[in-house]
Amino acid sequence: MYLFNKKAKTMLANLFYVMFGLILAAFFVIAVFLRVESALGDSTFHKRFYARDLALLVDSMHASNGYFVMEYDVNTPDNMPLDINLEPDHVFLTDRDDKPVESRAKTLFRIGFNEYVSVNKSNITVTPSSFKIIFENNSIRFD
Amino acid sequence: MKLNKKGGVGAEEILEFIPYIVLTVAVMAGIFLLINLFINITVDPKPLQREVLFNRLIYSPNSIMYMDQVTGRVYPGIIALDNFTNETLDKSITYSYERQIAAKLELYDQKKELVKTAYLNGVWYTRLEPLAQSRIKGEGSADIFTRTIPILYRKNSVNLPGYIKTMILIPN
Repeated sequence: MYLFNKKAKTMLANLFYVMFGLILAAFFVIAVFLRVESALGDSTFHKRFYARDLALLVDSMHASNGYFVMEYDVNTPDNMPLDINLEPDHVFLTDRDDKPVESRAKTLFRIGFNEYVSVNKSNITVTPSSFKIIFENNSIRFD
Repeated sequence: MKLNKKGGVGAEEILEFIPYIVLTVAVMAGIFLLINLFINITVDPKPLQREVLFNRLIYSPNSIMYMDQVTGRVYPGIIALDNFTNETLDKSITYSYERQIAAKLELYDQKKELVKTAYLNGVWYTRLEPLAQSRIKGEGSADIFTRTIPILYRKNSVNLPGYIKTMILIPN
């Protein structure tokens, strides 16, 4: 006595294939969500981006004359507060923390400085908003 | 249920699905790779770095460009030949870490004959140029970008036409 005839066997194999496909799809969706979430939840990209962008902006300001103020927007997720620091030779960003800035992991990018323009030390604590970059009397500061 | 016995789910039917299974896995892996490709968490500042450096060379006061000492006005595109030196360049753009950027500037006259050469961070330029020119990859090497523009150069208070060739080298 045959338990399954030919048609039933094919249908059962089909069912296995569909089940396999569903399980694979579930793993796939989970893997994609985890990957996207890890990319979005990690502040590394934001820190790298803003460190480079701000440092190169300050760098380019060394070719300037006069007085001007720039409004710089920072768009980071609400749960990703960053501290932005300007030093005479570099810009660095850290995750906001209770620890002193010196003991935090820094993401920095260097500025090409010279003796004609002074870069004043500044610290910006960012809650998704904006701050000013001021070039005045051959000195640059964040405010 | 037994696979290979009569009445069980035949291995034959399952074997028929192996190509489909392989294809399904390949398609999903492909989509995952594509998603990874579009999730970009790297930031490559090199194109911007070379633009900023180039513009600093062209527009900066107290650098190689001619500057009116009374008004402080810079004349972009007019090179003061006396300022076209390694010292002036190194003084106008300094990095706290030397392996950041370097450049070689060659000034040519109208007949495209070399008038003068100056280096920014010359030590690292001469170290890394052979690697960059031979397009060796890796952390120890560098990328080199070349740009030539027409300019004027000021010699004995006379503006002469010429070209400046900038080779900007950015370590990897």
